[in-house]
Amino acid sequence: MIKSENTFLPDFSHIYVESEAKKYNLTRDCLDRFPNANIIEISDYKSFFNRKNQDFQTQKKSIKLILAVKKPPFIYKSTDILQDGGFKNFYYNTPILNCLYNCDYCFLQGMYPSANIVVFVNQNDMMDAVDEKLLSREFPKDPLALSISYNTDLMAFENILPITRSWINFANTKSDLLIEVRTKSALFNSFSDLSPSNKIIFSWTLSPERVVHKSEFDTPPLERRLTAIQLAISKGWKIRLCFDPVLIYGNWEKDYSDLLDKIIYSVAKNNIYDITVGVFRMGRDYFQRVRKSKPKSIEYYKNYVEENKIMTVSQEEKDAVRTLFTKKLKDYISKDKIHFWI
Amino acid sequence: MNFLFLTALKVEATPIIKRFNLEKDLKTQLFINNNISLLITGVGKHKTKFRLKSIIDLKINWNETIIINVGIAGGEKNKTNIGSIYLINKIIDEETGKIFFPDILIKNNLEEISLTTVINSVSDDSFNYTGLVDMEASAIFESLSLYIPCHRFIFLKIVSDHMNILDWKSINVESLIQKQIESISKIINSYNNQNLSNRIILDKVEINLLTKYSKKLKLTKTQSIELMLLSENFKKNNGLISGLDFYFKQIPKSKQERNKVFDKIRKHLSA
Repeated sequence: MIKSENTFLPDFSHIYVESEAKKYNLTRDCLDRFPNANIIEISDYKSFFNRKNQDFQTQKKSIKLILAVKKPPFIYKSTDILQDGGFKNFYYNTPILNCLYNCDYCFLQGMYPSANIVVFVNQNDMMDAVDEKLLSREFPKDPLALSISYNTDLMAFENILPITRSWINFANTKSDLLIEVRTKSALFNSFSDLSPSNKIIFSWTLSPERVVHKSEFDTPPLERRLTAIQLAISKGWKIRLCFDPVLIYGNWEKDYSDLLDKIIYSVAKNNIYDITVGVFRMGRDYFQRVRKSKPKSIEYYKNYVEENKIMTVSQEEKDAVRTLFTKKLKDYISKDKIHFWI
Repeated sequence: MNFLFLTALKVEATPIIKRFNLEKDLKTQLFINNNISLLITGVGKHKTKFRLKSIIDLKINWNETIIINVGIAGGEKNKTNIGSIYLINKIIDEETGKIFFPDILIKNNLEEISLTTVINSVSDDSFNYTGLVDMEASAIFESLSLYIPCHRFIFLKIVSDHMNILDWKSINVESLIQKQIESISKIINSYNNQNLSNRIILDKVEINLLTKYSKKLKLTKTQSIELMLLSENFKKNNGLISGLDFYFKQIPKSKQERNKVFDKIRKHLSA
């Protein structure tokens, strides 16, 4: 689903630039990309991003861009909610805060007070931090797995700023680094000139078209994501397929069953690194914050259960998801390559 | 949407009062016509805060109200033109150092600029303020931002001088505002957009009814909150709240009885 209300200013009509960020190349690139934007200088991105009484969903109708200098920490240990894909040294970083897309179930709307997007222009500092962590990682015999798209969809931003590309190039110079780029974007052709790298896993989140249309606003349709996946596989890149979250609604089994049939039929399994499956889950505090803002989405008005401060679906529903995916995928990929996050 | 104009001076208000046919309500001191109202705050942060405090408790539907501060301002000589109207995108309170940002989400044709709110009027251009200078904007934002989200503040300033005026009476304020009244009207039209109001699930009637039910059943605070949340779930999933009357017909005689009834309500609303 795409934005249609033309009474709102286009995204990035305004760019808020930290004084300290002005000297960075990424800032200059970004300002060149939006020559008609109103530029407003700020001393600290938090003075704009963390204002009181912002409305996340209204701001989503006209997203503003913030260019800032990230201060330490530049790298974080993974959380319980983030899928670690079985990696012992699993970290994430935040090249960008917030997302161009607006998925109903996204935790970002509970995590951040603002829907505006923060781009940290000192990406090199983040790369230096990864270098340091590579040397001091807890399990030296295992690679360091780094999710660079945890708090954003970095690939969706590639036409604006080629940050994913710079991380791919960075990973290619490291021996023990594996980078996960989680996305719903169809912009894979931005990398058509790059040779496939075994340091990169592109993780595409897939949902039935009904879910894409109803709950994944501004994201590319399923078909375009599948085309991007097929292109990536044909080039030899490692691909992870993510069905996360699987949403529960009337007739969800049929929709997800049809989706899996389509994937089994159209996506060559040879370069599928693994598959992850999850259900709706959100930290209680984030959930309550979203709920308090009275979102239009029905996802926040269901009867969830609370498990260890996480709001999620019932065990019965989790079992149904596990059963469906296990059954459908059993002839497509080996069992050990399916990771359930439920 | 409702629009609440705030001006510091009567002469700033006059063109707006005329344009929107506002009439003074003696009880509230607001000038009102349907969804548009106006309050004269007086000059300076102190008076402004005091006047705004007096209207907070009025029965204004803050969920749908857009604040429009219209007034004259001093402008930086090389960047602004006398008589021009500007939309403010950043407000700096000179006294406290606090900075406020209204969200600018709606399309408009106005030039944007930053504004500094000062304590005393500026008549010496050697201070080198960037952008515009006024005496109320930061107080307005600070006083009302508890009730109004950042995207429902509009600050429109018309440059009256280049901070070099010795005789303030020489400025024809009413004329300056009058010349921009169509720009102000256009802003009203473009912001008259229901997407800017607070989202609600339960309407006032439903909330009052549930509050009444809670009192009748002597629900605990936690139960009352849960009743509201479950009712929101029910309405979101079913379109309306129904079938609750049955549970509230009798007043429970004990806590146990109340809890039993509440369990039944919980089941009903969770179905």
